[in-house]
Amino acid sequence: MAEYFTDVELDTSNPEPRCPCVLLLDTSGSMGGAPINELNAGLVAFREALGKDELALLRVEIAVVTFGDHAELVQGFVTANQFFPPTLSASGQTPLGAGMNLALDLIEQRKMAYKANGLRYFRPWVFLVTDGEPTDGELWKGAALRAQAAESNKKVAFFAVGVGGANMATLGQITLRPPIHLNGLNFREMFTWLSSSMSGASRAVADAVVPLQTPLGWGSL
Amino acid sequence: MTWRAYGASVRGTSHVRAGIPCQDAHGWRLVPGGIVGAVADGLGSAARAEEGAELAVSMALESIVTGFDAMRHDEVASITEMVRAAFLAARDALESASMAAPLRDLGTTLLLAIATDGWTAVGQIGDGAIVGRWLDGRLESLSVPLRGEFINETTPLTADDAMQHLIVRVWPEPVQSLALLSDGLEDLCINLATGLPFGAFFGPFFAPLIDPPTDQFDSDLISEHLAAFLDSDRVCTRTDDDKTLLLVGAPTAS
Repeated sequence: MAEYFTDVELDTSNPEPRCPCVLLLDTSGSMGGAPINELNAGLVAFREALGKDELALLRVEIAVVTFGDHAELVQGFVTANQFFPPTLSASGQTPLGAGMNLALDLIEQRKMAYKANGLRYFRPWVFLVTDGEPTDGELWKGAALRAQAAESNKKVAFFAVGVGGANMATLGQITLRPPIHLNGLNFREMFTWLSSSMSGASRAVADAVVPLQTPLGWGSL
Repeated sequence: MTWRAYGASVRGTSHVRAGIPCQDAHGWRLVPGGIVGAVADGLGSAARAEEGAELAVSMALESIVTGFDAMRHDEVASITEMVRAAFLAARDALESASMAAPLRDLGTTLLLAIATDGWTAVGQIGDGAIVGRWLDGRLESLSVPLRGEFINETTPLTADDAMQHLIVRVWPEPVQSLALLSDGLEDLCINLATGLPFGAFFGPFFAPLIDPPTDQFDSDLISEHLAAFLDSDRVCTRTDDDKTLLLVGAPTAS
């Protein structure tokens, strides 16, 4: 068949749609030693896994919020190709409520920036990892209500992972999705899973529900 | 004028990988002094999306063909009502076909466009786009895409409040040609911030509608070439969704 339509040019003016993900990571003192080292190794594995997906590198945006001495924005939103994993250290308590509020605020701000710049986007994710329970009083309860409202309105997908002796019952009150208990310190497997899930989420066909890839391999419900 | 059309719906690479069929559908019918075209994009989350898309297209076209002669062609309200009736007919057909199953199993978007010697009309529920080329050569996005907050969200024909989201637009002048496309192609041919169509994309597709004499216009053949283009690496590296392009128009000389 003769070549038709070879003179058709494609519009290249549209930026890639974005798929934002906040990593909300516990850096309290109890994460010291092997846990924080494995978490750091997991972040490196996350970046490497995303690096194998050229589209995800341009679409997935990562921010890192930690909570230990205080809730802190360690890395503002960058596309995956600009993400250089931070090396986290552990100290302090578990101000989870403040961390959650910071993560949810970040997402609201990011959405406003997308809208202002005409960028289309997928549903944002928050991925919480903690080995304890909230130490900032009742703050977490308000933050949990906020997270649950965002989840039930389909504004955000909020995941919670408990490590070691994390209070899974409290985590269960924070997210509408059942929390996942990490097997041992399988952070690398967890982040590899998160990478492939983000790859899927960043190219979901119209209205498709992104399946949670199960079995997880790295944790259990 | 002798109205003509060609079109293709091609399975996206993500659908190939996942082993799901092409869930886009398209079709057209001639009416006295004009042509009606439709494009539907079955929802990835719908169990019988491809069936819903096919049915929506065929029923909407049938409704226009049936109601065309009875309509007052000099009244915008009458044309609008005819387009609205076509969307209702498509939705009713989906309801009948769903039987006991949830209507959302047949979830699909629907784009409809009518080009005639005297006027032009479009209707839309959901995403996708309709681009018109007026007689003076100017390109314009005629549809208003209905998006949810997120890129992979839209309002389908099967939504409870779908008819409230229907947008119908009527122009009391003819177009030279129209392109209807599913959202899988939008990125490649429309600036999504401004809504402006990308002329270098549409020009070569409009050409076969305008240039060759009627006896040399082979819709099936050009549709095959269009399908090959939509399946080409150039396109597939830019979109992994199903993609449909339907072109209708009339030669200028006639």
